[in-house]
Amino acid sequence: MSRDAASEEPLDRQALRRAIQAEYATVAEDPGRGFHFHTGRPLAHLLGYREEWLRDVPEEAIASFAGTGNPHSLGAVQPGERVVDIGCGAGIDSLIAARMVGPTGQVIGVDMTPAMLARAGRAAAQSGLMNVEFREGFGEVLPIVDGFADIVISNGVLNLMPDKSAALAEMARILKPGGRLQIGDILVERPVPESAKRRIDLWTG
Amino acid sequence: MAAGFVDFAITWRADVFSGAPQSSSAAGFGTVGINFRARKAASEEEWTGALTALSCAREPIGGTQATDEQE
Repeated sequence: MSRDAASEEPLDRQALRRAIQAEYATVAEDPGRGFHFHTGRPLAHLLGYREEWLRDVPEEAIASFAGTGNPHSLGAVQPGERVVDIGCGAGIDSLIAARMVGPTGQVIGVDMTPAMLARAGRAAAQSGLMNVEFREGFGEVLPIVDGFADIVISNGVLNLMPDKSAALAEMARILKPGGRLQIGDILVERPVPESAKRRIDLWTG
Repeated sequence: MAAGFVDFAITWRADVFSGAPQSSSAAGFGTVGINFRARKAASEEEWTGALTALSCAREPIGGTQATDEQE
């Protein structure tokens, strides 16, 4: 196989998912290890999270926070609303939203990494909130019924999904007509070569 | 928009990777964190109207206005 042919091999999406799961399992299980991105409370401050939002969130959820933006700064979440948090990680954004929607609202966090879901579940139990649940799943195939949500939030996750069109279609599917997207993510300001898009190490590091 | 969203806007961008404990590929691609919002169209009419609005008049350099052909 020539070097050019080898470099044209398509991205192995299952291998990519495994690599991302492994990376974020480490963020869940050893958040103080140090990563190529900021984490935890310092990151929350960098991204403009208000102290009043963080005050009632268990440290279990804050320590493993690895977002890239601030979905809550994009619009007020109202009491009684339904929110879905895609790629919820250890649950910081879900738990913040759960306080905002109150007892008449509902929050569902979805993540593909069991270690993160376990952490989110423990944080929810510590918080005493009864209006939030966490489900295992992929952004491209969400375990949520059509038209469920008033708001979809996500933070630093869409960029990790190989099929972004499918992920956005799923976000649209689960939103009510007129429902809102409030997303934190990343963008690149320089072109990414096709060969680079096939390198899993560049997706995760 | 292809997914059915309207009113897309990037509201914030910033370097959120500098100073991280490990080096990353982020800087090499000019990677920044962003916030963006959008809204699911409230109706099929709103969505098709937004798609139509994308095929808007554009000003060619040094010439008169031209309109993209619509399918």
